[in-house]
Amino acid sequence: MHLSSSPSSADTPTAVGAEGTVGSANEQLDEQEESLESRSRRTRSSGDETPAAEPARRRIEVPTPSIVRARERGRIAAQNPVVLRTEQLTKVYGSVVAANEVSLSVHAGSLTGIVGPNGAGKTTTLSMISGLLRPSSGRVTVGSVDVWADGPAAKQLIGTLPDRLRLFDRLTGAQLLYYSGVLHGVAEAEVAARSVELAEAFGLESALDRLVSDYSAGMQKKIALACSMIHAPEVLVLDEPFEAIDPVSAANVTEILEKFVAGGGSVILSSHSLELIQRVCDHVAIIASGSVIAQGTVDAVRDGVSLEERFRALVGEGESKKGLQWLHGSSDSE
Amino acid sequence: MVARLFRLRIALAGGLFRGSILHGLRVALMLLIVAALACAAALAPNLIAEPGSVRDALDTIIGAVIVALAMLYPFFDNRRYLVPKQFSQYPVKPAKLAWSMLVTSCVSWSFILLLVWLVALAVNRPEWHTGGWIVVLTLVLVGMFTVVGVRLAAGLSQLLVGDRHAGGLRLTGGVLGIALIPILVFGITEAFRSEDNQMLVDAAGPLAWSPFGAGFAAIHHLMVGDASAAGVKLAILGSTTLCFTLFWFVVVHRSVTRIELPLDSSNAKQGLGWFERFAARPAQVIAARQLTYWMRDPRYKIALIALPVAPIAILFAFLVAGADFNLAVALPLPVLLLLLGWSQHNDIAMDSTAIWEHVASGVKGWADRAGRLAPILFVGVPVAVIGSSLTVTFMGDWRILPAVIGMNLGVLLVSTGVASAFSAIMPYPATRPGDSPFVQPQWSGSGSGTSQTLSMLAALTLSVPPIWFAVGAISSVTFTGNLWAFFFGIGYGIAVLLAGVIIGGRVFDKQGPEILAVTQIFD
Repeated sequence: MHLSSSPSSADTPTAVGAEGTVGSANEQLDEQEESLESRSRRTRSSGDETPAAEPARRRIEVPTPSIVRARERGRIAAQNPVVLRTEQLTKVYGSVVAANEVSLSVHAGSLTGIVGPNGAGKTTTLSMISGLLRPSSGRVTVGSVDVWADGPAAKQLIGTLPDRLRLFDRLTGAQLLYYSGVLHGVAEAEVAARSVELAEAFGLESALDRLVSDYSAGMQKKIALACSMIHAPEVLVLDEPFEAIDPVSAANVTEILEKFVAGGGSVILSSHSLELIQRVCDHVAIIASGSVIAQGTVDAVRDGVSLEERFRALVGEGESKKGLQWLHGSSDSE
Repeated sequence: MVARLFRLRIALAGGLFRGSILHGLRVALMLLIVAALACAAALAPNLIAEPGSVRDALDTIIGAVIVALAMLYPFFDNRRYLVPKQFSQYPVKPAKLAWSMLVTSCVSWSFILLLVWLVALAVNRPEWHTGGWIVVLTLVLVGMFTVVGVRLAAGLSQLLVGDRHAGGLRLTGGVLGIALIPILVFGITEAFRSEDNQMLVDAAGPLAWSPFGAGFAAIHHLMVGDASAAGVKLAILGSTTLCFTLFWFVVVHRSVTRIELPLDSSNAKQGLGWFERFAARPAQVIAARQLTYWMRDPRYKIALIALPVAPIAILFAFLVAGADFNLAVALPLPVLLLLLGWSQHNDIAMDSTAIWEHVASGVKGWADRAGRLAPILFVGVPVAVIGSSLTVTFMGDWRILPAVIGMNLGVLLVSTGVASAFSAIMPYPATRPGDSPFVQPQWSGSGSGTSQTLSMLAALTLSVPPIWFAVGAISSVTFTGNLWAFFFGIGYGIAVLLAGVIIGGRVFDKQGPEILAVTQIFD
C-alpha cells in the first residue's frame, strides 16, 4: 500500500483508510472512503474485512480522519443559515467574461471548496467576494452586509488570502502580524495575544523576527493565513491556501481551518487539488469558464463517483485525441 | 575589579577594528579624521582671533560647547557605553564598581580624543605656558570633569530611561539637535557680523560661570594675574566634579540594585522597530511601515541621492549666467523641496507590494494617505529648516529667516499635498520594491506622463502664494512682513496638505480596487 506507516497494516485497506491523509491514486481514495462509510454506517460483508478486534484497536490509535469529519460536517452545515452569498456575480474584461453570473452560497460552519480548470475564474470570483476586484454586476453579501455597498463593515467580517499577490515582505513576521491586526482595527493588547497564539498554531514562532521576504513560499502562505485570521473574521476567503505548503503543514492548516469552522466560522477556498477538496471540504462548487456548473455538499456533487471523475465528466474534458503526435513516439527521427 | 575592567576596556577598544582589514583601515581613518577635527577645534580660535579678550571668549565658548556636547550625546544615545547595570550580576560592591568604571574610562577612544584636544589646546597657546603647573592642573581637572560627566550621563540615561525607551530618547535627541542647528547658525553668523565681536564676549560671560566653561575661564584669569577670580572658577569646576562623582556613586548603586519591570505582555509593539514609536492606529502603523520600508529599500535612497542634482545645477546655471547672488542662493532649496514632495506623486504604486492589504482590510483612505506622508515629512522638514538657515547665512541677512522658512515649508507641504492627491487619482505602474531603481515597468496605458506633468503643474501653481508673500517680505524687510510670510507659508501649506490628503483619501475609498488593479498590473 502506498502510504501506510506500519508494515503490519500493509495488506488491509481499512487500516490505510483510517490513516489516509495523503492519498494519491483516486480510486484508492474512493475505496478507502467507502470502507470508512461501511464501518460507520452499515455492515458490509466482504472478504477483505478484517476481524472486529483489529479495527477497534486501530480506531483508538488513529484519530478520526478529516474526510469523515468533513462528511458529517456537510450534513450539519447544510441546515445552517447562509453566511456568504453571491448573486449573479459577473466580471467582464472587454470581450472576455471572467465570471458569468456566479451565484454561490456558503453556509455557517462549512468549509466550501471552489474547483475548476486553470483560468476558470476562481481567483476572479474570490477577489470579488473579498472586495479586491469590482464586479461588473451582481451582489456579494456577508451576513446582511453588502460587500460592495458597505466595504469597511463587510471587510471586518472577511479574512482574505489572495493568491499571487505579495505581502508587505520587507517587514518581519511579527511586524506583519501586528500591522495586519492594527489595520483591521484590533486593539493593541488583543493583537499581542493573538500574534503569539497564531504564530504558535502555524509553527512560525522561530521565524517571527526574520523578514517575510526571506521566508519560504510555504511559510509565506502560513504567515499570510495568520494575518487573514488575526481580526477573528466570520468568513475566510482563501485562494489556493494549500499551494506550496508541505504535507505536515497542510495537515496543520487543515486542522486550524476545521477548528475555525467548528467554532461557527465559514471558509471558502479554492484549490486545484480535487483530492484535497474532497477530503477537507464539506461543500463544493465547480466553476468552468466563468460559470458555476455544480454546487452543493461534496457527496451530492460527486454523486457516487470520485470528485475527480465527476469533475472530468462535468467539464467535459476528454482525452486529447489529436495533436501532439510529434511528441509521442519516434516517427520523426526515423 | 579595576584590572579586569581594564582588560575589558582594552578588548573593547581593540574590538572596533575587528572584521576585515578594509574595515579596520576605515575605522583607523575615521579615528584619524576625528583626531584631526579635535586638533582643528583647538587651533580654530588661533586662526580667527588675535590673542586677547576675543580669543579668550572663543576659547571659553568652544571649550564649554565641546564639554557639554560630550556629556549630552551619551545621555541621548547610550547604546555603546559600559553601564553599571551590565555588572549587576557579578559579586562586586557598587562603590568598587563605580570607582573602577571611572578609573578605567581613560582606556577608550573617546577619552583619547579628549586628550588629543586638551593637549592640542595646551600646545597651541604659548601664553599659557607661563602659567606652569597650575594650567596643566586645570586642564586635567577639565578632563576629569568631562569623564565623570560622560559616565554620569550614560548611567543616568540608562537608569532613568532604560532599554525599552532608548529608541524614543535617541529620536528626541535627534529632533533637538536638528532644531538647534538654525539657532546655532544664526548665533554664529550674528557673532561674526558685529564689528567688535562684543557678542562673543557677552556670550562667554555666563558660560565662564558654568562648570563647562569655568576651567578655561580660570586659565584666562590666571594669565591676567587675577588669582582670586581664577580660584572661584576652579572652585566651581572642582565642586561640580565632586558632586558629579558622588552622584555617579549613587547612580551606580541604584542601577545595580534596581530590577526592571517585566515586559508588558499586552504591549504588541515590543521590539518592532519603528512600530514602537507610533500608536496602534491605522494611519500611524502605515507611517511606521513606510519609515521601515524607506530604511530597507534602495529605491528611495537612490531617489534621495538623485534629488539634489537639479537644484545644484540650477544654482550653477544662475551663477554662471551672472544672476543676482541672493536670488541664486535662495532658489535651490525650494526647488529641491518641490521635487522632494512631488517625487511622492506615485507613492501608492511605488509601494504597491501589498496594497491589497489596505484595500482588503477596509482602511480609511485618509489613513492610507496620511500614513504615507511620514517619511517625506521626516526627511523634508529638517531639510527645509536647516536649509533655510543655510540660505539665510549665504544671503547675509538673518531678519529674513522667518520668511525663508515659511516659503520653504510652504512649498514642501504644498507639493506633498498635491502628490498625495495625485497618487490616488492617477496611479501608474512603478518599479517594484526589490527591483533595480533604474528599471521602469512597461505599461501600455496613458498616465505616467500625464500624471507627472499635471502633478508638477499643480504643485507649481499652488506654491505661488507662499512664495509671493515670502518674496515680498525678503525684498522689503519688515518684522511683521516676515512673520506674516512665516505663518502664511506654514498655514497655507498645511491647508493644501490636508486638502490633498482628504481628496486622495476619498478617491482611495472609492477607487481602491481600481488602484489595486493598476499597481498590480505586472504582478
